Amino acid sequence: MVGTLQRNAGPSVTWRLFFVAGWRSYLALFRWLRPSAFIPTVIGVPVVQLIWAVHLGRYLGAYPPDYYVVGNALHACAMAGLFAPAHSIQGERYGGTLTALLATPANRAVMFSGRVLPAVLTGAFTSAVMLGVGTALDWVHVPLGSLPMLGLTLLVTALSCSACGLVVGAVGLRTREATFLANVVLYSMLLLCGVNIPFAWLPGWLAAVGHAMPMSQGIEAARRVLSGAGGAPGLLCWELLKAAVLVLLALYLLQVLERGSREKASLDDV
Amino acid sequence: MTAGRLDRLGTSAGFLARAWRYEMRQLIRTRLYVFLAILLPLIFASMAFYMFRGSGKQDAPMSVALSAALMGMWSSTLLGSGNAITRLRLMQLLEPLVASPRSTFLVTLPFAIATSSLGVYGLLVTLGWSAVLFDMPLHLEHPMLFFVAVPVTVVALGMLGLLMASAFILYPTAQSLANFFEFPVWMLSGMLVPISTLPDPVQKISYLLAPTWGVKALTGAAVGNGSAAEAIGMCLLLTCVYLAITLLLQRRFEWLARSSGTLALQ
Repeated sequence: MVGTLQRNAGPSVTWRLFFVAGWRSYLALFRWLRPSAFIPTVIGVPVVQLIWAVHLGRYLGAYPPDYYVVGNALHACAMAGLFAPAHSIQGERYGGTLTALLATPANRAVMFSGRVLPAVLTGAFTSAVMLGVGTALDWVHVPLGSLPMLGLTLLVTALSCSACGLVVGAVGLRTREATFLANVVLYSMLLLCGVNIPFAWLPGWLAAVGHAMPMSQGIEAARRVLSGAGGAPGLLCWELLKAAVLVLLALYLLQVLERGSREKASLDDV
Repeated sequence: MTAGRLDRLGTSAGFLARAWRYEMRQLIRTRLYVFLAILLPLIFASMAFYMFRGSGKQDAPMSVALSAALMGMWSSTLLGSGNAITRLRLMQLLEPLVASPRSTFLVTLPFAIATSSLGVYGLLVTLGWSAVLFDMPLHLEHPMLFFVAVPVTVVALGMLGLLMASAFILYPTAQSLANFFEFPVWMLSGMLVPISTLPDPVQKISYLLAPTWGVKALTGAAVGNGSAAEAIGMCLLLTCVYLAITLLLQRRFEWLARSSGTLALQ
């Protein structure tokens, strides 16, 4: 006779934990994905940011609009990438379910990685929509032949941002400041990652910080893909490497900070 | 004015001052607001200076720094005003506050003014940051006008934030719309980019926004381009208009929220 334990063990539960639990956690972020909350956050804000950046860029007159469209379209994936994984842990805390969640024997790496996947897909989708908006407004030209490579670039950049969001979320296990941290990273990216300011305009040390942050190589790769210049695959490999390092760091932090939060009984702090 | 009315006015003023102080204490203990009010304008100022210098645009450094500070002030006001109502809702305090005899407008006004007054600190920090890191000369053409323009702009931004946040009383999900208004107001108010670069019909909308006149008042007083006194007057006038609209909207939204029972919803 098969009992509850046997029914809920093995690869099926791992897949369920990764896909179903991750997706439901994502739905809960938007109170079960109400369009009235989802669309203004994920599409509305990046669209107005894109229009503002192009307006500012035109006034400065240093680069054509496509420079700002690509930078801000890629930056759009950071919103979902950073806040969704970070809030999925913070949300458990505010919902009072974090203790129950961590009392389960579920594999933490699978459980928390599953929360990154919807953020990656939403982030890449948002960036694609922003490029579509830029194309519709005639600010950028996307050659059809570049679409597969461009799609890959968006996915890799969104993965890198979401991995960073998971690190922020891990910090949220121990503190209540995940939202604060996510905001710091999001706006720092606007300054440091080549979104609107070329690295050559920044002081050397700031440019070095920007190169090490998620998304910077992804933005450069997208610009090269669209202009037909080479070198995009190499840049994407760098971005993937950063994503891998960030995922490993997040999993390590989750393990260490979970133990620390249990010891300090800080899981229920809101 | 009768003694009873004077007494009520004094009580309301005392309530406003106490609620403002209480909200300020809450805000300065919340890292997110400290980031919004202080660090965010520094990021905007750095971004603006690197962009303007890199592109060779010769705008006055003081004007760039003030725009960046106002961008941060608007972001913190918008998020703060909306978040205050969402926070009351989450703590299940919105219902008893609306049910109390004091007007909802008086209850919500200190939240908006507190978040925008935190922006004054951001303004000072931004000017200091720009002077130290970007060699901006700290010289004000009309210091008296500048010190009048600052509180007028703070109140104007607070009132616009409160006007937008009024909808949050009725709709629990309206908070997600708050961030949406951050960039359009920057653009329409001429922060960093003059409104003369906008299409003509859009410029007409700009003139209806108090932040537009706040930018004019502050930069006019600091740099000496344009009439700061006229801008301060327009800022005050629009603040009064926002106040009247907010009173009407809040009364209507409050009635709708009470009758549809959405005050306690999250």
